[in-house]
Amino acid sequence: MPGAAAGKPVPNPSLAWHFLRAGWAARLALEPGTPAFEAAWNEVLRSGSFQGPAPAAPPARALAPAALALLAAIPAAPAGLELQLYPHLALHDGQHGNNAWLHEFPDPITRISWGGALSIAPRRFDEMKLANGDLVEVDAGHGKLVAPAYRHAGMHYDQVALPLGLGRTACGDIGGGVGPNAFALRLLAGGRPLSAGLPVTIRKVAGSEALAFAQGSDVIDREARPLVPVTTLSAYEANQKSGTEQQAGGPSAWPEHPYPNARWAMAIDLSKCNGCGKCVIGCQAENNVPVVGRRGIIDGREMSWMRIDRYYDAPKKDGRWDADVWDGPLPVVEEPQVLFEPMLCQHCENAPCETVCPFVATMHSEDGLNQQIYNRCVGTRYCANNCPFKVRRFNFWEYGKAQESALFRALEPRIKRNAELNTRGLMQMKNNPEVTVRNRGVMEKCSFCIQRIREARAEATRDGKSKVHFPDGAVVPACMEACPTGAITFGDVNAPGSKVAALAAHPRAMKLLEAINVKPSISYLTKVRNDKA
Amino acid sequence: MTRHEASPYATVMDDSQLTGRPIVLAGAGPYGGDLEIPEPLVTGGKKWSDVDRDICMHAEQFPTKKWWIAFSVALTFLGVLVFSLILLFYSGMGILGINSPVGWGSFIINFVFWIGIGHAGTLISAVLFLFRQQWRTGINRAAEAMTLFAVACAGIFPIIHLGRAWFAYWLVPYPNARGPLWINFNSPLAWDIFAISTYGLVSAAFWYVGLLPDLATVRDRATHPWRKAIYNAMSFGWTGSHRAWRHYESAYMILAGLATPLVFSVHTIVSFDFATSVMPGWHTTIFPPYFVIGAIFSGFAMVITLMTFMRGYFGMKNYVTLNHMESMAKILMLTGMLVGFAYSTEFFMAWYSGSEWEGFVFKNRAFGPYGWAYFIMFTCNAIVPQIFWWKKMRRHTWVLFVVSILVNVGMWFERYVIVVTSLHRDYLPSSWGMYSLTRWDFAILFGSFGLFFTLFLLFVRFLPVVAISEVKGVMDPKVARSAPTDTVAAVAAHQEA
Repeated sequence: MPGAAAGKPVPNPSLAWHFLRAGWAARLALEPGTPAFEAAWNEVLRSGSFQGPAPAAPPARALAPAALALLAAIPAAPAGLELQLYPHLALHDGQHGNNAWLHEFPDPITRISWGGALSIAPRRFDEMKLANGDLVEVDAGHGKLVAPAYRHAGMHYDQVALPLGLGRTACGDIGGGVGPNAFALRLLAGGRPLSAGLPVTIRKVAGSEALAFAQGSDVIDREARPLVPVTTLSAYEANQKSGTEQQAGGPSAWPEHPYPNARWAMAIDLSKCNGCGKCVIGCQAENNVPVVGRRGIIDGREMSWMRIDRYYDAPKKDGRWDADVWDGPLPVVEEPQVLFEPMLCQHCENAPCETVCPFVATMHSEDGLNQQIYNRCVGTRYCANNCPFKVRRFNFWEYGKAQESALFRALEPRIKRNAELNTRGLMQMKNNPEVTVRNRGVMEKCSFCIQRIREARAEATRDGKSKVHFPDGAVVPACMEACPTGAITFGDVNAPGSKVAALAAHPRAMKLLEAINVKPSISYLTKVRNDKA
Repeated sequence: MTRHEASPYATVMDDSQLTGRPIVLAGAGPYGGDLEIPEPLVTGGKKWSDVDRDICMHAEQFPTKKWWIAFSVALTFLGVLVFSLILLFYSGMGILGINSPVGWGSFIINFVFWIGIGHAGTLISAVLFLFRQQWRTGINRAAEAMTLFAVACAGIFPIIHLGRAWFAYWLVPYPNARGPLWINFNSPLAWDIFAISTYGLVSAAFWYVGLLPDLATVRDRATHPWRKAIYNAMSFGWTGSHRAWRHYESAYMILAGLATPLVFSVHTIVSFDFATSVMPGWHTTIFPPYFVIGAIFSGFAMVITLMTFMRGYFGMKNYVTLNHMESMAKILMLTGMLVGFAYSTEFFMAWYSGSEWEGFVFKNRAFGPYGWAYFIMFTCNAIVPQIFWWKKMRRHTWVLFVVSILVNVGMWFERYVIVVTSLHRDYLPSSWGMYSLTRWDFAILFGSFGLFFTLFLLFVRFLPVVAISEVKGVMDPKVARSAPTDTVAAVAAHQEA
């Protein structure tokens, strides 16, 4: 829009222009056409942002004894099945319902993205002969809702739960109509909305709906697959290394990398990780990770460089679990022990991906990074197949750009949807200019935020500091920056006295899959459970 | 004593009179031993000149209605392939079923499947040639053509399975101005390039050298001057002199010697794509022999399928007799049992290795969500060919045809089982997933059959489908030398006119 000199509005016939200015006149509390308004309006246009007056502090709330009287209006706890409505962890009440990142964010426990499901206790779920995604009608008396069913480990037999904030009807291209609208089941009791303890009945109805799970199996049998270091406090006191036991690997045929200067490494303290997933969103924002949508997740094409694996720990038992432990039998999921494990590229020293790429598109840097070279990648996907951690992400579609052919868009509606998800609304502005936007047909994965490493290096050059070793804090990757509990530590493991070196050498540290000798750069620190009262 | 001296089979007119057993004359052999007289490889009392006519006929006359129907069906499927590939290149790998744990899907399955099919041709033409198996002469030409077309079908898959197929040429290591961009010789995919291109080239050269005298036969029979000129050029001006034959025979022998190790090396290297990885279910030392045997198995099944058509629709019953089919059925049963043995060995090793990962993958293969595919594979490959213990079944055209189709279904599923079940549940349970083919996967799979049959039908239309000169060499001269009766009549009629 053309700017106007103060006091001289540009004559503009567009109704929208006047409407917009009228809206801003109200917001700026100035008369349109006055020099003060034009100056303020031009400033807003120039800076692209507007800082309104600070909101007045809310008046102090006094305890209203009258509110206590409302408790009487709440129905007594029902004897049968109770419904709990909970805010969606990313979307809350749904006010940011048109943000594709928040929809794509998998719930830390259910691991469902792009929608929600009715959580049902495993025993009840099995009794009703349901499968994940089978449609169930929830009848709360004052309202009914059909939602897909989900076998939720650890739910009480008499409880079901549904997330709020979904199913918005007028929200935009991205979030409109995603998931069930659980507000329909809320009860207004005495003028107050009631979201918990609602008596309901549920019954299976015909049909099912695919749930967009961002995870495969829920269960881990650590006897068979020691992939998560976990121990108890008493075991830890007896032996600091407890919980890190795993199968030993054989000798390696590959020569070792020398790492003459810096060597980047990470340590993740599982005792501190609470699975919130902020690192996932932080990584997505920093690294221009595209959104794949509900269909993309169902198709198994999630692009997230970082994920939080959530496992239910199969309890120890005499003998071995049968193979069906991976399907979540009742003894595992009725009283589950939840484990979170942030999973990202392990930047292995003996990286299986590096040897199999015929185009040399992925290679080891001298500072210990497993680098992916996008413009050299031709997309054999061999690296992803050979990655034991399955952290490599392939661009199955051109996510960042709309494709035009009407014939092909009609044959594959996903082409249109991908363009919507990544180029409409807020998503137009999401890209970080420091990071390449990958095109279709190439592989990508966690780079340890190499742009920040290179920036730190450039800064060191500029300031005449050491480029051999970097102090703690010189490079903070996006996940570490976003982690509210400080579970992630990143740094130069070769730098004297670095924190990450100390953590990697700690008895709690475990590097995964020693059995196949990949030698990851990421150390997981044991999750220590308090087994003392 | 050669077989020709006492052939009692001059009157064998078609393969219903063949028994599959030699006549044994007790005490008539050298040093008082028994004399075994095998049945003739060419039936119908054919003369040498009949062979020219019977075989060149299909390249000389206007194609039959059956050929046109078959060709239009094949061409339709080829069109489906072309359209699917346009869509694939335009919109990306997303139209296929592959996903995060299962990064290789139908394309790699089809690639290994077609490369496997391609093995029988070279085995029949080179290995059986070196072992002097004379029955190979009836089928080797078509089997070699099948090899070439199967390699052509196989060759497109590693290219189209690339995310950016337009850069596939980066895989060829030649001095270049792109950096220079060099390839990673550690990667089995780079080995594949050499293995497949070598195999394709040697097979093509071997096939073409074998064609030379027969192209000259077609030339000699040609009436139109252009046709004569074209086939003359294609036969490199073959004169049929003793010198030419001498050089030809030694060249053929040398090429057979070169092609023989390739039969074993190509699929060995293809198996390295899997065997050198770290994935449980792929990382096994049994893969090279297991893949080679599977390839020969599926290739022979495909030869049986094609030969059934050739016998049925192209009147080749006198040259590809039931005895030929029975020999192939025996090979099918033997290789089928070897494949079954490999399946069992894999299971034994998974248990014996004591590796949790390995053990799980094999349990999951047979009893997990893809147990049905394992069941199809095991039934079709290890159990169905057991029917060939019965001679009657080995000589029953329909049984042979159905079994050959089932074997190839089974072998496709073998690759499906290897590729999909190893990837879909690997180390981290969190990344497990499922795989299924989309309509475009199916379109491209069936489209590749369209390509194969289009090429094969063009081959049948333009080139001699049986090695004329070689077949003549295994015919009984006593029967074949005299001029055919219809030619005598024709000459007489001509002289009268």
